[in-house]
Amino acid sequence: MVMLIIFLFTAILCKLVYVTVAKGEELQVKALEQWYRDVPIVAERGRITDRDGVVFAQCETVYTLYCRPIACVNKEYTAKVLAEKLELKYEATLQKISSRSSEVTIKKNLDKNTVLSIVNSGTTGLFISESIKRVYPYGDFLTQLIGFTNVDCAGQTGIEAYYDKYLTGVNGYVLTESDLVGRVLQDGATYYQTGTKGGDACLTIDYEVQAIAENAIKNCQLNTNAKSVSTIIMNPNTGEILAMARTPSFDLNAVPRDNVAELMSLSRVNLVSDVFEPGSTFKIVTSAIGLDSGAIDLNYRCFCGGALVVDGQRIKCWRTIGHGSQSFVEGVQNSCNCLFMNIALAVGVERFYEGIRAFGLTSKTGIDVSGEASGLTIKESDVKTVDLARIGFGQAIAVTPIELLRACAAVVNGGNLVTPYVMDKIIGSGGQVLYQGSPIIKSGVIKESTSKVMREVLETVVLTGSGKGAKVEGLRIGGKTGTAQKYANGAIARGKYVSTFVGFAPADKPEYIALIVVDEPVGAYYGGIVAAPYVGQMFKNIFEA
Amino acid sequence: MALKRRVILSTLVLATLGMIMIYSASSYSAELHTGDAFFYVKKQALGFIAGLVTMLLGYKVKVEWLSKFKWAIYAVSMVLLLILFIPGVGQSSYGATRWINLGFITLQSSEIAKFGLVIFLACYLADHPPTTIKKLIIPVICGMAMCVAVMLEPNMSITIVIGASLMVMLYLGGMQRKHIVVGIVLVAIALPLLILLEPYRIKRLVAFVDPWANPKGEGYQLIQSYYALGSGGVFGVGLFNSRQKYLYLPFAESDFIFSVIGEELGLVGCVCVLTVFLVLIVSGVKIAIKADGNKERLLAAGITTVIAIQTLLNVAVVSGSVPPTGVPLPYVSAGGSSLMVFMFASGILCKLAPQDNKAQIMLFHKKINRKIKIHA
Repeated sequence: MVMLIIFLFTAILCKLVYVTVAKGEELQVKALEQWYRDVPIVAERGRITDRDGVVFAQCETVYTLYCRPIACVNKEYTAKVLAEKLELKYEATLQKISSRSSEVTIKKNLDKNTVLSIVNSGTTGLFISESIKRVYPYGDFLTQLIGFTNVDCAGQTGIEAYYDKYLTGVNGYVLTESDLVGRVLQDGATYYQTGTKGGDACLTIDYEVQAIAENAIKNCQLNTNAKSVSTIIMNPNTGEILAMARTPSFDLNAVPRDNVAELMSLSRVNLVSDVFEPGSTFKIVTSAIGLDSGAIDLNYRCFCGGALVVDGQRIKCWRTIGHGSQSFVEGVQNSCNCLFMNIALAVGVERFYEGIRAFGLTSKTGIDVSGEASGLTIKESDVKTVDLARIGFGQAIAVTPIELLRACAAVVNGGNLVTPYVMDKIIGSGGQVLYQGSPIIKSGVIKESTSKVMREVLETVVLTGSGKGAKVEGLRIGGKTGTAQKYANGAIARGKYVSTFVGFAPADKPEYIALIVVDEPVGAYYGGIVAAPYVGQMFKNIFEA
Repeated sequence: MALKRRVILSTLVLATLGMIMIYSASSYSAELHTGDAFFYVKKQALGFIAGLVTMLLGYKVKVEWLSKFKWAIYAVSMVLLLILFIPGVGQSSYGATRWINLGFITLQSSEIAKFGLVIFLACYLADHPPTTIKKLIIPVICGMAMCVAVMLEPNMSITIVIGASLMVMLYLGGMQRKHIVVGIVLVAIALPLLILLEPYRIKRLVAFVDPWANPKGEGYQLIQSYYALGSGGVFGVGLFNSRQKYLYLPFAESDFIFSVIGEELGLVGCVCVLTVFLVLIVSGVKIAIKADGNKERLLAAGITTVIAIQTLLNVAVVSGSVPPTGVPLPYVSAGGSSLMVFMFASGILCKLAPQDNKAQIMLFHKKINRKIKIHA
C-alpha cells in the first residue's frame, strides 16, 4: 500500500520534473508571449528620390486610436470627448467602446495634436498606435514607375513593389504587461523594441529631365488627341533611365482604387510590359545589321518603284509612287520600305536573326521593373523570305519600347548593349548601402565604325529627312521616325496607328537617347509629325537647362 | 515523531499554505470581481477556524457512536447529494450542480458524502466482512448508489475518488481475490463507456493527448497549467509573483492551486508540498496498520485512501499526467466545506492514532506519584 502510494507520487513527480525542467524554458517563452500586449510601432518606409535627392515618395506619421472597452471606466465621458473631437456620432461611439471585444479601432489617420488633446482630457481605456501614410509630393509624376502602396504601406506596383523589401522597415513594438483580457498591470513593466526605418531609394531618374518628359507627353497628347503617349529617356552609354512618363495617368496620393480594371491599365509600365510593332524605327536596327555584316555598304543603291515583289507577293512602300533610285543614306532619310526589304534580304535569315538576338530584341532587357515582356519574333526556322522582307522595315515583329530603345542605343553608342536600370542605390537607415545599381554592358554588338556611320546617317534623317520635326537649332540630334499600323484581332485596324520617334543627342557623342510612343493619334499620324517634334522639344529643354 | 503529531502538523501546514497560496492566486481576480483582494482568503480562514472545530469533533467522537449511527450517516450523505437535484436548492456553475448555498457558506455535498460513505463502510464492513458475493451486495449497492448520484451532478473526479475508496475498503474488509478481479474487470469495462457517454469527456481526452491542438478550447486549462509550471522552473518566480494568476489560469485558487505553487515556489516547492502530503498519508497508513479494532483499521484506511487518491488525482491533472478533471487539492484548494471535512477526517485519524508511549508512561508516572502523595 505504502509502496504503491510512493510509486504514484514518484510517477507524478517525474512528470513535474519533465514539465518544469525539461520543458520549462520552452513553456516560459510561450507564457511570456501571452503575458504581454504588443502594440506595433510601424517602421517608417524608406523614401524614393531622384538621383539628386528630390523626394518622390515619403512617409508621414499618423496615429490610430484604439479603445480597450474593459479598461474604459468612464464610457459616457470618453464617448462624448471622442464624438466631439473626431466628429463621430455619440451613440455609435458609446456602443463601440462598450462592445465585448477586447480592442476596437476608433479612428485611423489622425494627427498628433488631435490624438494628444483626446488622451489628455480625462478619457480612459484609449490607446494610440503610430502608423505611417505614404505621401507623393509631386502627385501625378513618374506615376507608373514609382507605383503605390496599399493602406498598410506595402508596395503594390512599380518601384514600391519591386524594391518593397528594401523600402519596408522592421516594425518595433511596445510590450506592456497585462492580464488575460488586456488590462494593463499596475506595476507591470513596459518594454520598447525600436524598429528600423526602411532604406531610402535613390533612382537614376533626373527630376529635371522627368519634368521635361512629363510636360512633353502632355503637350503631345493635347495636340494629337492620342489615346496614350509615353516616353523614356535613357543614358545610352550606361542604361540609366533618366525619365519615364506616360499619360493618361493619375495622382499617386489619390489612387483610383474603385475601378480595378482601369487602375490596372493606368498603372501599367507599358513601356516595359507591352509589345508593339515598331515600324520604321526598327529600320535603325536593320541598317546597322546590314552595314555591320557587310551585306551592304555606304555605296549601296537601290530602286524603289513603290513596291517590291517578294516570293510573288507585292509589298508596298509607304510612298506608293516610289522613291526611284536612291543611295543608302537617301533611303534611310526617306524611310523607304523597299530599301530595308532589300537590306534584310541581302543579309539573310541566319545573319539577320543573329543580329536581332545580339541587339537583345528576343529577350528581356533585365530592367528592374516588374512585368517586363519579351519581344515576339517568328521562329527562325519558320521565317519565309517574305517575312524577312517585312521584318526589315519593322513589321512582322513585335518588341517592347524598352527593347527597341536599348537596341537603338547600342547602334549609336559604339555597339554596346546596356541593361536599362532605374535604381541607383538604396541606403539603409544606418547609412549602409543596401543595394547598388550599376551599368551592365555587353560590348561588340556592332563595330564602332558602323556605329559612327549610323550616327551620321541618323543625324541627316533629322537634318533633311523624315525626322525634320525633331530639329533643334544649335543642337546635333540624330533620330528616326516610325509609324506602324495597329492590329486588332489579327487584322490591320484601319486608321489606328502607333507613331514613334527615337532620337539621341548630341548626335556625335550621344548622352541622351529618347523614345516617344504616340498611341492612336487622331488626324495626322506620321511619326515625323506627331512624335519627332516632342523629342526635339525635350532635347532642347534638357540642353538649355 | 508520534503519528498523531505528524497528522496534526501536516494538516495545519497544508491548510496554512493553502491560505497563503489562495491569497496569492486569487488576490487579483478577487479584487477585480469583488473589490476585495482578500475575498477568498477570508472565506478560507473562516473555513479553517470551523475546520479546527470539526477536527476536534473528529478527535472526540467515539467510534462506537459512529457505528451506531452508520446508517443515519449514510442516509444524510445521500440526502445531501440527492437534494441537489431539487430545482432551486442546488447551485450550478460550469454546467454542474454540486453546491448547496446556505447563505453564509456553500457546501459541496460530495465532499461531505465521500467521508460519510467511508465511515459507513468502515463500520458496516467490520461487522459484516464481504467474504461472499451475498455479503458484498449491500456495501456495493450503497457505494454504487453514491457514485451514480455524484456522477449525475456531474462530477467525474469525485466519482473516481469514491469508487476507488470503495474498492480499497472492500479489499481491506476481506473481499476475496477472485471477486476483486471480477470487480476490476467490470470497472475496466465501465470506465470507457462512461467516457463515451459524455461528449465533453472525449474532448478532454483529446485535449489531454495534444492540448495545443485546441489551445483556446479544451486544451486551454492544461496549457495554462503547463505555462505556470514551466515558468516556475526549479526554484519558482517567488511567492506572490505569479503571472498566470492574472486571469490566465482558470480556477487558480481552487482546482489549479498546485500550478500556482509550482509557478511561485518552483519544483522545489512542489516537492516540499508533496512531501507533506506523503507524511500525512504514510502516517494514515501506519495508523491503520497499528489500529486496535477492525472498525478503526478500516476507518483510518478509508480516510487515508480518500486523501491519497484526491491528492494524486489533483496533482496528476495539474501536471498533465491524466486527462483534466476538476478536483480540489485536499486542505489547500479554496473551499470552506472541503477544508472543514478534510480537517474532520484529520481529527478522526488523530483519534485512531495509537497513544504515544512516552505520554502514557508520563501519565502513568503522574498517577503513581499522585497515589504516592495521597498515601503519604
